[in-house]
Amino acid sequence: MNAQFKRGIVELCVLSELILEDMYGYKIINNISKEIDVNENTIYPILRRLTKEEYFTTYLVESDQGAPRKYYKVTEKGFNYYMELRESWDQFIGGVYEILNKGGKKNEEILKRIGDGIKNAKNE
Amino acid sequence: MKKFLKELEMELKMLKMNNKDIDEILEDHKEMIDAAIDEGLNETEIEEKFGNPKNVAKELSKDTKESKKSVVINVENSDSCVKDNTSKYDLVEAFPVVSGKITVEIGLVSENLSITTYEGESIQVFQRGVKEIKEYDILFENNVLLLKKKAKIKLFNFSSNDAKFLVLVPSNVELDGFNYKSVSGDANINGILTTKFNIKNTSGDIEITNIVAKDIKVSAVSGEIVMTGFKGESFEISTISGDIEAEKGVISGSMYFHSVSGDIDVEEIECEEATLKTISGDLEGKEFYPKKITLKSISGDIIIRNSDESREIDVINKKTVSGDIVIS
Repeated sequence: MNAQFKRGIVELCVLSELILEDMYGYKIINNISKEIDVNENTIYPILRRLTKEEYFTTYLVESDQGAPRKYYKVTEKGFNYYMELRESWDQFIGGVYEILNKGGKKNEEILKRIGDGIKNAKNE
Repeated sequence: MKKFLKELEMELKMLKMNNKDIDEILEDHKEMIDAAIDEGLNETEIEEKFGNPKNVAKELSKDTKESKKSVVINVENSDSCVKDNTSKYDLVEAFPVVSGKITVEIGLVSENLSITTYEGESIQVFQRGVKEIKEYDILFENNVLLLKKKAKIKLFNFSSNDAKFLVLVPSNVELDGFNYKSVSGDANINGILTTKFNIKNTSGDIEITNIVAKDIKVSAVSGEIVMTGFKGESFEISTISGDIEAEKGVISGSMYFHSVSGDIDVEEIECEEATLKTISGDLEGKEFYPKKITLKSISGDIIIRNSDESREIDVINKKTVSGDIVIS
């Protein structure tokens, strides 16, 4: 996947996770990497950059096991940014679905047509 | 996982990041790895989750670099790519440069072009996949380098699409003018030092890097233009429907952007005065610091986001019909 594109999507995922609750770094990585194929290499730099840009603040919480953990919290600026990103994402993905599904036609029908097309091409 | 932290530390140091940042990043990683261990992950699982420290370091340094507002005019690295490339081409002509400033005139139709400066003595013109080299004027006379497709003689002229020229210009030669015109060919222009820099293009995509020129003029109809690293006194760029990206530039005078429906992205640019006009294209500026600005839009949005609040932008004029104009 295009790196820039992927970074944008992961950024949205990170914001989305933290909108719901404050979390520590590893948990964010764990939650996201469960669903999509990314690892720490992509997520941590985003966390750090968004913190620098004041979309997140951090605070320390003592943990039961050993060292305190740094929790990330979305700021108002971060929340506005999330809304902005979310809107462009919804618009974008809506458009992509529209194109892929040709305005409501079922996926099977499209695949069948493609299949027929390939068959015809072979017979010619 | 000590190995991961050690490697990360080394990578970060190699990228010349400052110590405070390095400490913070290492601290964060130690904590995250500890958390993973607490949750019972084994060594291989952790390795998978944390990946290669090289990649984190690279990503992180990208971010710190992006926040620095400097223009990197980097001509040297074109040399290695020149060596890689010339082997794939056939040399057409080599012209020794005697003295004085030269002018480069390029007029192509669908051929792709790569032009770059290099550490060499002569101007060299290479080609690849050009069927009829006789259809081109390739000359160097009176200090003018000409690479031009001759006027069409045939009624239907189907030139092959993969024809490509590579032109090498010695980096110590100063140019008086650089003129490039093309219809549908893509172009890659790197490291040109000139007084006047003119690009006219219809539908080809153009990538321009590391340009120092007094006057920069670029116009496109539907092709995409990406400019990275430029320096000059005046700058004019216009597009009908192609998108424009301009990044890392310093212009001591005025900049003029004009778009009908193409989007314009501007990043890390400094100039004295900027004029932006758009009909329906959106303009997005990031770290865009003109001292004075004039904005006009019909339905396109103009959004400028800067992090340095101490540098104020004086808005001389601002007009829009239905677009949003935001400067923050």
